[in-house]
Amino acid sequence: MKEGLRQSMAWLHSWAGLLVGWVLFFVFVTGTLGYVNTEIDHWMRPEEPLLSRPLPPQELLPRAVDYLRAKAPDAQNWYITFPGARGNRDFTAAWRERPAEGEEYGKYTRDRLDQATGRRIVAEPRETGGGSTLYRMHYELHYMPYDWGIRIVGICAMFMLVAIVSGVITHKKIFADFFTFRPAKGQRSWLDGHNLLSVAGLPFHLMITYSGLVIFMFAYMPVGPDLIFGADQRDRFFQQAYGYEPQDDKPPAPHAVLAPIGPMIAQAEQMWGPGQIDRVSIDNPGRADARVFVSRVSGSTLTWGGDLRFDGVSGKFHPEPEKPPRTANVIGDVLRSLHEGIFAGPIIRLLYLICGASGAAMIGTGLTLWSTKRKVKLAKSGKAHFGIAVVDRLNVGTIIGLPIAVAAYFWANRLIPVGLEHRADWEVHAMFITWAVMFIYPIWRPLPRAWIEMCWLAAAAFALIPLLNALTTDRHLGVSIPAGDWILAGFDLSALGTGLFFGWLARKLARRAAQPAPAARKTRSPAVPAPQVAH
Amino acid sequence: MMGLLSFSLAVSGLSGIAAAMPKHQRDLFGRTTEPGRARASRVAGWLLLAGSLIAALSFWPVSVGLAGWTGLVGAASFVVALCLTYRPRALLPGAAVALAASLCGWAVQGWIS
Amino acid sequence: MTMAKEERFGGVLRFRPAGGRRWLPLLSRIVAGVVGGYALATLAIASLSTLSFGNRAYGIMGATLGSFAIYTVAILWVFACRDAWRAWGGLGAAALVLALVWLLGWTLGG
Repeated sequence: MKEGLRQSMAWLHSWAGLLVGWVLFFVFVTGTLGYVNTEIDHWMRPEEPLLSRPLPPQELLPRAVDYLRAKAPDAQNWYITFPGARGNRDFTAAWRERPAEGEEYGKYTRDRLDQATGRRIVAEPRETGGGSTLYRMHYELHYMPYDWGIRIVGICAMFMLVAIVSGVITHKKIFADFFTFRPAKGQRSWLDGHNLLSVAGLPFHLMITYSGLVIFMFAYMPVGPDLIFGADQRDRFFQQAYGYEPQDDKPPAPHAVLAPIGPMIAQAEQMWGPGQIDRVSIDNPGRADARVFVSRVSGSTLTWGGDLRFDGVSGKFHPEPEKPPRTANVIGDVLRSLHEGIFAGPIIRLLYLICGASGAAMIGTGLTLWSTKRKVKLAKSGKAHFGIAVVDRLNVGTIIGLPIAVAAYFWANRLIPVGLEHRADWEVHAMFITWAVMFIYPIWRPLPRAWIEMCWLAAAAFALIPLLNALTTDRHLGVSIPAGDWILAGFDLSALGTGLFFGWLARKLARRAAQPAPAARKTRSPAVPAPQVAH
Repeated sequence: MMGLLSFSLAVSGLSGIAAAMPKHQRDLFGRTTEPGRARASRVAGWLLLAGSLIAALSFWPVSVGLAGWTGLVGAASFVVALCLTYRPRALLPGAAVALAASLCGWAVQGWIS
Repeated sequence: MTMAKEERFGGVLRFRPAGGRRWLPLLSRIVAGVVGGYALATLAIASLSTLSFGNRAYGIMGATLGSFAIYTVAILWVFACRDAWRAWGGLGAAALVLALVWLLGWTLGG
């Protein structure tokens, strides 16, 4: 019975993996890039000032408050973010106006302020989707309505979950083969590589898939809120689930002077230590019911950092009533937080990037394995199979073609004229047009050559990005490194590294192609071991 | 520094566990070793792995540390597997050097502050 | 060497109805897994959420979190069991249990 189970799970694993593998590869690549979306945003907006060392909150706070007092004295909420924390590169002051008649929310505006002067930064960067577009694509895809996109990705995520669990069940020697990798043995090597990438990253892959589903869980499983609670009762549903009081629309309270916030920040720094302040939010500034929240940088726990609440008029600290968090809500929050990885410091951020890339590689090796395995079987009967030829083209077009398309996105950002209308849309079009061409190219080339040539194209596309940057902007390595803007420099260096990786891959594939095919060497003579190929 | 220490402890621990497996002993030493030595290596490996977890939890808050350590061990597994494939003789010496270096670094860091 | 029909598709075709149409059991399993599994997960949310007495919304939160695991297990079951009849049978049995839990929870929770 065990064998029957392994066999059926192997079947399920390979078909579930194949049907959605190409979409999942796209999701993993854009998701991993989306993890560094603010960094990519910065590179794609070269008109922005170079990043400078962040000033402490105590110094920046009065500038922000003065700006907000001048710009939006009667807003419903003020939000001030301090630079330095993950996701906040900028010193910003934002506000939400009181909702107009019949509206639920008021208008929201956010301005970037200069750290030294407190004045609004007016550099108009080129219109671009930046890294944030890549990030959004990984859950809503593109060229389709949001609701369709998230549900297609959700279906693929369910397939992936099934593939992960069936893969674990079918992996016969998951502990014995934990460190096993036998290169240059054709199908066996692809299986070893696929297994190694999958098992080493198993906790991550399981977490990222399940948590991805949880983030949109009420879109995928609407029966709870919609059927049981009522489709127009979403707010009431969340209130009851989380146990908080409803926000009623009160009329504005009478005017009152806003308490100085400096002492509140000082108290927060005393409680949390230095460098822990992420943002300050003020409800109803300048009114008698004003409240000030000082939020902590996330990274102290897996869930959000926690707020300190102060009365906005008296300045008194109000510790939140201790309500024990409910388990289901905590689990949901922790899963969401793990998926987004905002809590992560630099080491764990690097691990997230490595794990994301390994996930893409896991899918890529799996897709290649699917085709290799069947070609080995068919080689014995001497037939070719149209379906496998299609899979092969889709594979090379995705595994090498999508990275080329991403490089095209960055090239488009530098090459499309700044004033062109809808240039942000055209950057994305450039990416997808390139990707489409990458599927057409391998139709006309013999497959091994297509892989090698496309790898060389990817190598050039990425390695030349720093040069392109130098030729088109003044934000190249010669400027970013001396100025200490490591986000700009890091992008250029990463592009160079990616180019070198594809160059190495191209050379390796070229050398492999120059040798006799593994099938010819796989003669069944136990006395003569298969020769180990030196690299 | 703690992150590096945790990582090198993980690599050393996983190498010890791998060295207890006959199939990898052939790569590492050219022959299989006695079961007693293999068991000792496995125990040492698990202890070092536990040490890696302790290092991670002392550096990060608990919930963050557990998540970070899982990723660290995954990366270490990958490194150990590749080393066993391409440079097996370098694995144990390399792990020992990395571990010694991070311990020194940690001690120096502790002595300075 | 061609594999016997039963061996193809990982043995999923082990049950073959008389008179051909060998793809029917496979199609049946796919429908059972994809559609039946989703229905089972949905039923699980409706049913298990009643176990959080008094606060249905909180129960829905927890049950929805777990629904993806239930869906996955349902799909695995459907393709692991010996034939398509058992696949549907298993789903039906699980649905029955969930319905009973729903009844119990609804009665006790009020």
